[in-house]
Amino acid sequence: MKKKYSIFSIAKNALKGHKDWPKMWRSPEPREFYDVIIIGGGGHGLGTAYYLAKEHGLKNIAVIEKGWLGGGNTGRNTTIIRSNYLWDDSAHLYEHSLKLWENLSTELNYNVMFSQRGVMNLAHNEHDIKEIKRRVSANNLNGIDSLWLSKEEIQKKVPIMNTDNLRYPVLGASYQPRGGTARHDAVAWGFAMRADEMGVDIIQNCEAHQIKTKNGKIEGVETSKGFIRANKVGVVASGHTGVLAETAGIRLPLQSKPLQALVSEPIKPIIDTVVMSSAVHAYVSQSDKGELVIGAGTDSYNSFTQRGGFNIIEETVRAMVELYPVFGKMKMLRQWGGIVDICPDASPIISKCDVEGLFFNCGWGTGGFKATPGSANVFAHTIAKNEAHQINSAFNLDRFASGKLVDEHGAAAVAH
Amino acid sequence: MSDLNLTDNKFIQFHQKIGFKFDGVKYYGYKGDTIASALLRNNLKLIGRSFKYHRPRGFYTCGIEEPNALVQIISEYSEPNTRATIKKIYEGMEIESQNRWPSLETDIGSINNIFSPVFPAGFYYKTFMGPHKNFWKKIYEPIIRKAAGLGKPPKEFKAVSTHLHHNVDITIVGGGLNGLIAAKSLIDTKYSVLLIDFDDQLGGILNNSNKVLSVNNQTPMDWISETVKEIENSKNIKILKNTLVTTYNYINHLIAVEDKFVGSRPLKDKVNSTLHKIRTDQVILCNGHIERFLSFQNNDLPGIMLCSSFEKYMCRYGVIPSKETVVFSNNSNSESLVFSLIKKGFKPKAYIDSRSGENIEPDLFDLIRKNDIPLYTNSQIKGAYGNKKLQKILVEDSSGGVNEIKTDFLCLSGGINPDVHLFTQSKGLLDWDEKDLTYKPAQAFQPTITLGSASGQFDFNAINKEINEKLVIFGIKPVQIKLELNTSHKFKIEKLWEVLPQKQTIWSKSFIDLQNDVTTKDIRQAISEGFDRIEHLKRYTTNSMGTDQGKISSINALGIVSDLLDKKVNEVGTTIYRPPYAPLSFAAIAGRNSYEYYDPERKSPIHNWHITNGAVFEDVGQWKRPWYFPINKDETMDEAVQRESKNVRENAGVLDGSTLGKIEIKGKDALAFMNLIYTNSFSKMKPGTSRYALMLGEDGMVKDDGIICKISDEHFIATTTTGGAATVLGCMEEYAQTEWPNLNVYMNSITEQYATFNISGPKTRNIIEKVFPEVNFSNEAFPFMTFQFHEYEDTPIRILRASFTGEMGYEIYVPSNQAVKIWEKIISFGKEFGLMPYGTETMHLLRAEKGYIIVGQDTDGSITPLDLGLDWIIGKSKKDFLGKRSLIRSDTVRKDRKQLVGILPTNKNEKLEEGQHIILDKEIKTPTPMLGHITSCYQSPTLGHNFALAVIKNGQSLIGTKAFASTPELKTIEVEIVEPIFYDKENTKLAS
Repeated sequence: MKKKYSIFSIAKNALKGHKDWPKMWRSPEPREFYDVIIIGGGGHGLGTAYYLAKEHGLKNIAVIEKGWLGGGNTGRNTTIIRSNYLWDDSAHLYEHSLKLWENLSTELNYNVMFSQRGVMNLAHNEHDIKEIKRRVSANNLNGIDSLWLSKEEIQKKVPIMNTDNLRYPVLGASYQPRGGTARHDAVAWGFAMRADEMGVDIIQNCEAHQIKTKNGKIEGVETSKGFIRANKVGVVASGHTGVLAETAGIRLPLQSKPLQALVSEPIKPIIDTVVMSSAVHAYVSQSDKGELVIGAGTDSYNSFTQRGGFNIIEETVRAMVELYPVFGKMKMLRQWGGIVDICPDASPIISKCDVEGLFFNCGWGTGGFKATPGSANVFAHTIAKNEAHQINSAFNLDRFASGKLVDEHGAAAVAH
Repeated sequence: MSDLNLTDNKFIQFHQKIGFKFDGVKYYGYKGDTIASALLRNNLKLIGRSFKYHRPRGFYTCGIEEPNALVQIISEYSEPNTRATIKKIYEGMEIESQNRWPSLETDIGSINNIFSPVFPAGFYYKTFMGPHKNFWKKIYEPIIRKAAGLGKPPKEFKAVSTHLHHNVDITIVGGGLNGLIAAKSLIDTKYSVLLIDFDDQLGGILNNSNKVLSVNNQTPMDWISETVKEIENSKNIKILKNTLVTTYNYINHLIAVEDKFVGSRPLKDKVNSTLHKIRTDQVILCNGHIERFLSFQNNDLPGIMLCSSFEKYMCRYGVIPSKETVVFSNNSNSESLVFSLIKKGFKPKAYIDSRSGENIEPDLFDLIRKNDIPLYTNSQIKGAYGNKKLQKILVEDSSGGVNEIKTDFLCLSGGINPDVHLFTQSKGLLDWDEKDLTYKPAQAFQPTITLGSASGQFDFNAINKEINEKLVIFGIKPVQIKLELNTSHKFKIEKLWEVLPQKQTIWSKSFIDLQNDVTTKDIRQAISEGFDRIEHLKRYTTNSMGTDQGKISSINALGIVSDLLDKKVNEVGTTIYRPPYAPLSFAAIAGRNSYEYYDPERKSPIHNWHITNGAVFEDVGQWKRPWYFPINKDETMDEAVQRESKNVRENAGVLDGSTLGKIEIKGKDALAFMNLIYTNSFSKMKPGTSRYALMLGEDGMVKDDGIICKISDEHFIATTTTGGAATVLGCMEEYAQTEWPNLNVYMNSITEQYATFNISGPKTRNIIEKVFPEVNFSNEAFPFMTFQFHEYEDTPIRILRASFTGEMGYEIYVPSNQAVKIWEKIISFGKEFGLMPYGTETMHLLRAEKGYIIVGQDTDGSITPLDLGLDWIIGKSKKDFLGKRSLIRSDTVRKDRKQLVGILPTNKNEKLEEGQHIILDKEIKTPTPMLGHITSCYQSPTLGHNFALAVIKNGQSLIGTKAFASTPELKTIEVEIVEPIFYDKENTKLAS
């Protein structure tokens, strides 16, 4: 039955002491066979199942997750959403996603708290200015809202920023008003709930061990809950996609590195927009709860540990203190890491491969969260139709052979 | 005042009165007081308002685990969220309560408590979606944000803190009973030891309770001071007090923060805190345990406190929060408090225990009986009631009858947990102890030893055995500590997590997380909605996600969940404690590496000359480069650049090119290496000649460029771009070490060893002949793209004939320490020929006129040498070089790739801008296809108009056609696509 949420449903339940809320999703055991198995119960995977069921009429779908829903990078990122990418292919993909974000709460009837508070990318030298102005110009021609802000305009939006008295002064910024943040857990839960309602089996604590193929065709997935047959398998396992691909004999051009983030103690509102600076490596927004959510960089070395080096935290915090001196009096509440898969061109892979029925959605590097609904939407299309949607056609695996790369090192917030 | 007799209190200096302000009212405390102990001394019990419902809250604990008592320190740049239970007062300190308006007593936000039935767990996910999506942005979110958050933002502040590194054999975390015994046993061993304690007094439980009567027949105080003295006098042990270990990283790396101003106002320019980074072979965790609370209705009222905290206020701070308290417990940990109270003559008003009479410690039982204290066994507190403070409690006794007890204070103990945060941070595994009802360290992942209650070893009589067993690896002499105890030596507990209320209404609240206002009702709701995994539950209800990370309550939540799901606690799991142990100051993390030390400023050897001569600088990577040299303060950059560039074309100019990277490559296989790293072939090149060269990435895209001087087949000097120097050297090293380890080649940066002066312009030869009269600069003796070594007044110099401006030019390489002398000579000798210094902006203009690219400006990692029209630079006969394979990929050989072209505005005075895109249509309709973008663009005094370089799809074949540049306002400027060389196409100047 479809769950309906509103202030009225809350009031009704309040009278019953909130005891009778229905379960968000079932906890089924896996069936023997599915039309599609999605490996990875994060936002991208759950969203893919949701769109497969909703837009492509598939019903016999499973999402298998080795831990708990949204426990990977979906629950570990800094939730920044924007679409101001340089190249056309990226811009269209992320803009597709941004448009879906704008209606996601209504569509899911679950508040993902998409907060369009704007995203600012700072320029600290002449080279930054040139690169950022170029990106703003490209965004505008692609129909994406993007502005160049002068130092004075920045100061007006973020009065606590120290623009002059620092090693690399702030000279200007790009600004995307429609960008912002969202509540990461809610995205996973919202997609999971609505996918479950359409019959998708969401199976937690079910680890994929091996992707089985026969004669160039997918057979199914060997899991911690036994072998499950499938016509199609979509792998969306963020930090472990490369490992899973190898079980099917496929080497993906991915490097896996720890990426860290941290939050401060909660305080009353102090910064009302998202500010990113790749030059001094500091990006920050303030959560609705009042915590400063701060993104750090990746470690220099490949690793599968979900904990990065402390020196990376240090670099980020000193950039924060430099840019926002008052933050010196703030305290770090929690730090954590996640594993990100990075492609040579810092763009994702949303693609079929040489094995019939096997699909990959990976390589999102440090910025996959913003793409969640868009990525899920076009990946579902790719799986259902056996061919890429126009929007993700550039993000195929062939590009690493042909050389038709989508080099987004400049627009990706974190230096890869 | 709630003072105890302070004459026998070692920690409070009662003769030293300290005045401080709380919410604008002046109070007095004593030296040694925390904010909490000082306010309790003044009978203040209300300290703050809760996060969500704005409920009145008091001091719940006496330590770092405190969930409620967070305050704003106005006198320290308004530092928010400071724990009143650990922050020491000083004269003139100003403190403010948080999250209330207009005042702590009367807080409008407490209206939330009335509406609380519609604020269940995760209510925000289910509402705030209508009637229009703009309502979230404009109305709901701003209200939510304003209501959330705890303290107010801090005020203007400049952090001063420092970092200290330690490499020691053993680090002992916690200087309580076990930590002191462990440290003492390591005195004068071969190990270097660090003993770290968060407190300013070592001794832990010995100071904070009356549990231990004597140690080795001495009073605890005497034993501590003697032991500490011995440790301090040892050569191998260092003690860090006021230092909290917050983080336990991999490879036994600890982060600890030391407060340098405990009990005094931090001085402005003095180091406020030190971040210790400790690498150690072995960690001994002796960081004790944390008492937990219990859930029942209104268990958050001011006047409710944990038992051991109450005892700590008495023993440590000489203050008694209440002279008539009720005690409620399910375990033996409350015993010590009852002893302490009776000893001081403050009989508890009642003692309530969920255990039956037989299960209560006999000594305690007798004591209570002897003193006629009302005793309720097999009993539970059903609820606590009162207006802004505790006034009465309801007790359900063994017969099921409900008794009302009027009281203003209640001490509570729900059991104890080993403080396992650091242990789990180290990735150690825990196991559930069904007898002691807590998680205990089971298996260390790193070289970690846990001792005492930190290891879940709650039996005082087992201390010797544990220490001797666990520290035997250090070859210590066996320890024999004799303890005389006030209480039973063993820990006993009976399961109790929550008492259900007498009457459940939609407003009743039994808290499970005090700081985040999570109730047990929220837990039930989350489980009914399917959030039955502990990580989901945590995120959905925000349980244990506050600044205290649920230190006194997270185990209770597991207990409640395990009962609800009818699973063992072990099966429910435990959440991962993420570092840091307690909130860690940003200033401390940043250390000295901020402000003037944020990043080194690299300066050319003649930087001071530039300053004296009025240069305006730009940041290029870490370098400060002269951008332009205004002749007076009125000259703008545009004017200066026009003048400087005109002068180079007409007379001569000199640029400080010292920041360009310089790499020396040597070795038997240097030639083979260079042939592999760069696109060019260096094999046929004669010694003494040089070449412009490109370095590609494996993807075939241009990554860097420079001039390669060949001294011999075994010796090259390469220049790189200013920003790319480190990357290029790193790349060379990587390939030499990983791809071609068979090559005998070495490379070294010599960027800082040499200054480089680029002189160019038609009068260059006149100047340079005058400066270096012994050198023959004729075309025959010194042709273009050759170099020679010379001596200038005993200084070895290298002169390279090359040009980046299109004019005839020489580059002089001189040792850095002689740079000023030679530069000044060039300037003074050049004066008569009109020589002027010029900056990077003029250099950029001049090279663009000539069609020379700047890597990183005209290229962006997606441009091949062919796209730049530099086909000649590729050594086609070479078997291999970096990026070669990618140059024949289908996309790289595509004909319609973006190619470097020139751009001229049809109206030649119209201003173009770098970053503008070139499109085909005059009218812009988004999205519009883009041909490419303008990479460089200048107003040329030589050409007399604007011009630009651009990379354009299929550019070469579009030369001669019209297109449009788009402006930020989405207007268009008509332009013509032209060849990318605007000056001296025939190359007559270079070799003139």
